[in-house]
Amino acid sequence: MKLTDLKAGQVAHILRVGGEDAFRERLCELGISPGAKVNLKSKLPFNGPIIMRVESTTLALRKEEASQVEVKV
Amino acid sequence: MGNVVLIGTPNSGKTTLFNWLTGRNQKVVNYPGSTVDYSKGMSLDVYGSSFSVFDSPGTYSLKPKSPEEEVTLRLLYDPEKSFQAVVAVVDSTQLERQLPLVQQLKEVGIPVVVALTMKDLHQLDKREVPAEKIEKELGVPVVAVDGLLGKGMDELVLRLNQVKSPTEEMTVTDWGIEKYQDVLQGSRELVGRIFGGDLSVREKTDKLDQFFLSPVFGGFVFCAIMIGLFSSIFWAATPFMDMVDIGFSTFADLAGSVIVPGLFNDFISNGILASLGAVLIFVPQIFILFIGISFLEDSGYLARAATIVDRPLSKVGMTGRSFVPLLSGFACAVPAIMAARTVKSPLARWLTVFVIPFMTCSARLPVYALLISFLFLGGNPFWSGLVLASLYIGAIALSLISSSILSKIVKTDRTDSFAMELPLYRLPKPVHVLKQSLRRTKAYVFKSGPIIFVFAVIVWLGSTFPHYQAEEPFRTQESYAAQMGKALEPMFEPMGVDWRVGVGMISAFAAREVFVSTLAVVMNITAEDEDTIQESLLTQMQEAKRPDGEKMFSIASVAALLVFFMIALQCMSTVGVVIKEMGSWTYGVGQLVAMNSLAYFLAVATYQFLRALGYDT
Repeated sequence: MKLTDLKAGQVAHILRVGGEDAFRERLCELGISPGAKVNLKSKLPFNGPIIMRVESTTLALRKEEASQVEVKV
Repeated sequence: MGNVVLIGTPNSGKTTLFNWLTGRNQKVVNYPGSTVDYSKGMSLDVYGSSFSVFDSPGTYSLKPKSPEEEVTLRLLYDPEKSFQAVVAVVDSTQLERQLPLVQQLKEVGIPVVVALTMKDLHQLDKREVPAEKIEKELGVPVVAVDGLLGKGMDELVLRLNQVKSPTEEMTVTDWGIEKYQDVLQGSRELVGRIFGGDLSVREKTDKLDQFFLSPVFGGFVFCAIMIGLFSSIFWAATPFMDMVDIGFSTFADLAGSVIVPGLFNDFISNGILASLGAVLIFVPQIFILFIGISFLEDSGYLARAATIVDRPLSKVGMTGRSFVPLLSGFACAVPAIMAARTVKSPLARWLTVFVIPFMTCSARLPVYALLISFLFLGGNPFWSGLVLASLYIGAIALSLISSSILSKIVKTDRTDSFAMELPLYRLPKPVHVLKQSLRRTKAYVFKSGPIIFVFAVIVWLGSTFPHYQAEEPFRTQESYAAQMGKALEPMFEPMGVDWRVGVGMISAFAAREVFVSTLAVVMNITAEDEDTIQESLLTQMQEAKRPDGEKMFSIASVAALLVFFMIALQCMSTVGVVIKEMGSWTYGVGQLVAMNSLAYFLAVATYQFLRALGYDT
């Protein structure tokens, strides 16, 4: 499933990150890569960014970008 | 030992470490991307060895993705610096995410020493930072340092002294995505081995985020904080402003009575003191706005605020990262435009820099305050507040509309994104907030002070000569300034004002607040009859007549002036920094022409519209 399909409070592991290399590198810099544990904290209204904990970091990510990330609960 | 450079991700504690090493009291912030240029300092004597320390802007990797990350990379590979060692500054509460950068630094060829920061946060959870274990895993020296107390600095210097020489040639690392992902996964496993699980210190932050970033209340809380911030500029500043005003008028009176009457007396009391007083009265407001911004910055809320406004800003082509530059624009456009370097997407940065000058900067406040107090002389303060709020909101609305239109026309790289790290919430330290606000206010005063002074002198000379021995009002009305203003009068006529205001508007291109001091000089203000300079200027404005005998300052003409000042880009420092930051004269000049044409046409439209409705008396 997609990262954006998680509900607030759900925990999952990242399986795969799609998109171009530059984008995947940027996510790596934030700690988002296959194997990482994510905990979805909140989804801002009107399709706003999603807030999540990735391992020890709290991140905000636009919905369009988060939908490139595949996770497994 | 020669040069040492500090490298780490944004917010990893580089600047704190830099201050401990060099003793230089530089700013530390709790917001990603605050160090835009690098700083340099000499190590303190207490460490026993002398070396230069360079503090670089935060970077996540050695593959730069923004102008500020490029600064770091250029610095690291600068052959003239020939660094003897790199201190990799690593936030120990986010170890797994920061270790790939250490791995990249190890490949460069300069010896690496790792400094683990944020030790104090682990101690809250009664946990030690096992530097030795991490050192064994990484194969480079690792030292835990304490940013609060400065513990571990001696050991860090000791380890720096023990490093081997750098290799002859530096290697440029270029990892592919697979390698990066593998190293990152390896770092997570390493952290698991050392700490045996989650090393998070984020429970309190998670709880606060449930409130501040709640889908339902988050937006309301944001609005409440912003309204609180902007209203405090006014209610909290008023008593201090009164003090400055009374102080300056007393001073001007005193100078007027002590110095022998004549040209020099006139120069000091009317030329210099009246102009400076008319402008310095707004320093308290600027200071309070800076306190608010510093407080939000240190608390960690600014990054959340940026996240909340990302969606609305993305509708007009900008991103959440534009928020902090835009907010700083309410104090001064110059640092705000430099802060726009943290906006990573090229289109969003282009638009952000373009609309920052729309933000109601502190230099507009003197002009607004004067014109609004004229509109509601002795009236209900509620209406003044409402007009002021509309000017703020009007400027924001115009900036969003312009951004939206430009985002559809501009041909620039459109890769668009928003990903942001949200730092831990921390209770800001009052001393730090005060120091930082004081530093920023001082920078503002010293930047605008000399310009105000020079223009006050020029305007005073222009409005006093050539008939300096003549009686008023003849002296001013036949002066050089008047002649120039009269030549340009046809331009100002459609706005309902005469040459005197015209001279003020032209001088405002040095800095907007000069408008008030210029007006004070050309309207020939002396603080003799009234209590304060401000009151005396208001009285003069009420009596001012246009050549046709009508009152010059009517609701229509004052409203037109307000509209003009709300929009116009009248600040040469801003134009200069825009050209430098965007590397384009076309951009800077285009922005200048576009904003001022818009300002002029809307001001004329406002005057003519209100005049037609009968508000020009």
